[in-house]
Amino acid sequence: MTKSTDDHGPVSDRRDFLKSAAAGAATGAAALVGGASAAGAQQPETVAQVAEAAEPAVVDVPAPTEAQLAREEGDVRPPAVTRGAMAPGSDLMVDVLRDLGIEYVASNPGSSFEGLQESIINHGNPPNRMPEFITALHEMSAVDMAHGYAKAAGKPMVALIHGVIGLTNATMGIYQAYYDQAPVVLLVGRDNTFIQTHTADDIAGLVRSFTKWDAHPTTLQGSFEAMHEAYNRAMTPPCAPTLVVLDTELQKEEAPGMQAPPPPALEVAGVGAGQAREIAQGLLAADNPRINVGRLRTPEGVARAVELAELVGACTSSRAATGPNSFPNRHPLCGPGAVGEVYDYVLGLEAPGAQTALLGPHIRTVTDRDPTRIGLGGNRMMGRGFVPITPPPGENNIDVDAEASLPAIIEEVRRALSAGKSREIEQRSASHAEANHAATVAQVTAAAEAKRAGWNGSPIATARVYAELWPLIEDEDWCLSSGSRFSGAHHADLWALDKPYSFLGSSGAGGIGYGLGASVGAALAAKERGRFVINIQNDGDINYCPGALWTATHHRLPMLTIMHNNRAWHQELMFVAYMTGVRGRGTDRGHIGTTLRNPYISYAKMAEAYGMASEGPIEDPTELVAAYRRGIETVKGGEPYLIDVITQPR
Amino acid sequence: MKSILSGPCAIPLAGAILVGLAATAGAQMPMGEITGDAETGKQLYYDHACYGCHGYTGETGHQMKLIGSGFLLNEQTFIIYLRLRAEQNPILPSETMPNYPENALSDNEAKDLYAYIRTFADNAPPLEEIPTLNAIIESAAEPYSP
Repeated sequence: MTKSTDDHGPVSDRRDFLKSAAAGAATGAAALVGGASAAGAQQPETVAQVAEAAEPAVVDVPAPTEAQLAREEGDVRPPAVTRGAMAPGSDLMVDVLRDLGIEYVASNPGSSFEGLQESIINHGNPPNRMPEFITALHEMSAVDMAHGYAKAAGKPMVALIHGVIGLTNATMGIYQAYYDQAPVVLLVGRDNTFIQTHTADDIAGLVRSFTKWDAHPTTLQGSFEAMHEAYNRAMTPPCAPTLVVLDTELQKEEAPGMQAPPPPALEVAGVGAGQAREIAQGLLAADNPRINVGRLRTPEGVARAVELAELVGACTSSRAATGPNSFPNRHPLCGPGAVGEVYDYVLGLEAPGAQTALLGPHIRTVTDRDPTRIGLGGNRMMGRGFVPITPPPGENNIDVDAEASLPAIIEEVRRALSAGKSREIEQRSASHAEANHAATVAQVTAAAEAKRAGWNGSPIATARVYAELWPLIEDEDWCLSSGSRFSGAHHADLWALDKPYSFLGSSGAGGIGYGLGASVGAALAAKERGRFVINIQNDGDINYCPGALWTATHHRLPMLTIMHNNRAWHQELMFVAYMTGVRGRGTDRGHIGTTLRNPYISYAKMAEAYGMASEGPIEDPTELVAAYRRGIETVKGGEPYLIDVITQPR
Repeated sequence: MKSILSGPCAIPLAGAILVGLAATAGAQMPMGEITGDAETGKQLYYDHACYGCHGYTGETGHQMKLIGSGFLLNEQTFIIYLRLRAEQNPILPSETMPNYPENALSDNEAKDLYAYIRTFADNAPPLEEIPTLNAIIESAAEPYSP
């Protein structure tokens, strides 16, 4: 097992460490300077001697003062002094973010927003809280963090991005968040005078075809309103990234006596009163109603869906195995039910599937996008990519937000529910529960039977990677943050996915590089909520932005990373292998450009380099459980951990 | 050695043989003789990325079932199978099994590969001997508690 040399122990330990490190450095510097002086009498002759003589001059670190240490911990306001800027506009921008409930701003620093950054880290009491500045090592990581956080927390955090060059780095992350309908607020700094190559008249135009809305306010008041609107539009279905360009002049504008306006209420349209009544009547009149549940907007929507299903005794479907905010998959009403999948009324709640809207209404957000409108075509011709769906004939779709519709439907059900009907529903629910329980046990048993394959093999079967985790986490509060398709998606067969955040789903657009950043974002959401994150991390993916490991370590995030290390971009290996066969040549050369061998990458050492506790590579499956226990203990203690596991390809 | 797949009628004939073998495989015909070298075959299995779909031991992904597979019945059926795999140029990327022509994998190499594949065994323990999987089943059987 490797451990970081700076393990971020208790505050007192960290203080001691900083003091001793500084003292040691100072001593070393003195000694080395002495050495350099001595060397002055005898000039170095070899390259090594030159290097040795040159090294010491840069090492001189004074010991931090108590005040500095207190300041680093972020709980003490800066000393009051007479300053040139007394009431910068960026302080009020931070107030706006605070009032919106923004917990975190992930950012890689840039010169176009040092005003806002300074306000985040120094304004407020305590400073650097609500929001806290999260240091990202790449702009795509920052956006991926906001993407993962949004799915885990059900609300946005901010990615703060530097001008043109930062935004071009961030584009992939924004594109994926757009396709994944993740509410992300992007703030982009713009400095029109400092470095010309970092700015543009229309910076937002870079990503306009895959953001939902953008603004470039020209006044301080306008910037507050734009941030409010960016938040609300991001959270209004179809949820998506929104963007506000903030000029440096506005960030630094003096605004004495000005206050941040309160945020406007978020209003999301649901079904009308008449529709709600009709749906309630349909559910109550049916002998065997069903509710098909897709991905709802927030965890609150899940709670309301459960409430409605229990009220009317409807069995349900769930998309919890593919993403967040769907019906708990082990809930007694989740499953085919007792009557053999013959339903006389079906209510769809953001549910995919062609049949949903034929036996009842399907309440859904307009989610389909026309891919021809994404990209330059979208910029040039039609604007943004959201387009209405043209429903097939006979479907009964209501194009409003399902989550926002549920309270009115529940109210109508409660109003219409008689005592006799309640008894009938109770009996039906009990029958459903019994049938669904039996179906679940049968499904899990069949899955377990199938997962035996390669159980004792090395490299380790991906099924075992997932299976061995379950007994260790079933009584914990956890979140599977990573996409799972490339590692077998065994959670879908073996685990209970009963929380809105049990599984956060995939990247949205199938792009690689999302997993680690999104997991860090999910861990930010987990940190204050007493849970931890499990990141089953593809090796190809981690190499895009590995610096997010440092972010997890630096901010002490509860993230357990388990490497699915098959030493390849395996999907591509199979594609290229097929092509070599089609062309009848070199079937032994498909690994070129698709595998990560010669040399193998050590992810335990990678984590160690970023200061994260880690172990591996593990090739013996019998070593998994002990490693998992160490990892879970560490993340429950508030620190990240990485386990490198050498796995079968799929 | 001359390939068993030569001449204008080779492909249809071989296809017919394979179809027949696949149809009779359920009868568990006795498996053929091994003439290749399994150690050499192990390297070929890796070099030609067979592990990519079938796992390093044939147990994961698209599992190789020795019993009941007409294609793995003997060296000849295996070679026919390799040569008959899809060779149309796909428009979309495909992860189905590639074609292995003779100039990429000779008959002798195919026999070595076959010898290695024949070492594969179903090593999966019975379900009742895997505590973890049984714990998962027991967990699923517990009453729901949100």
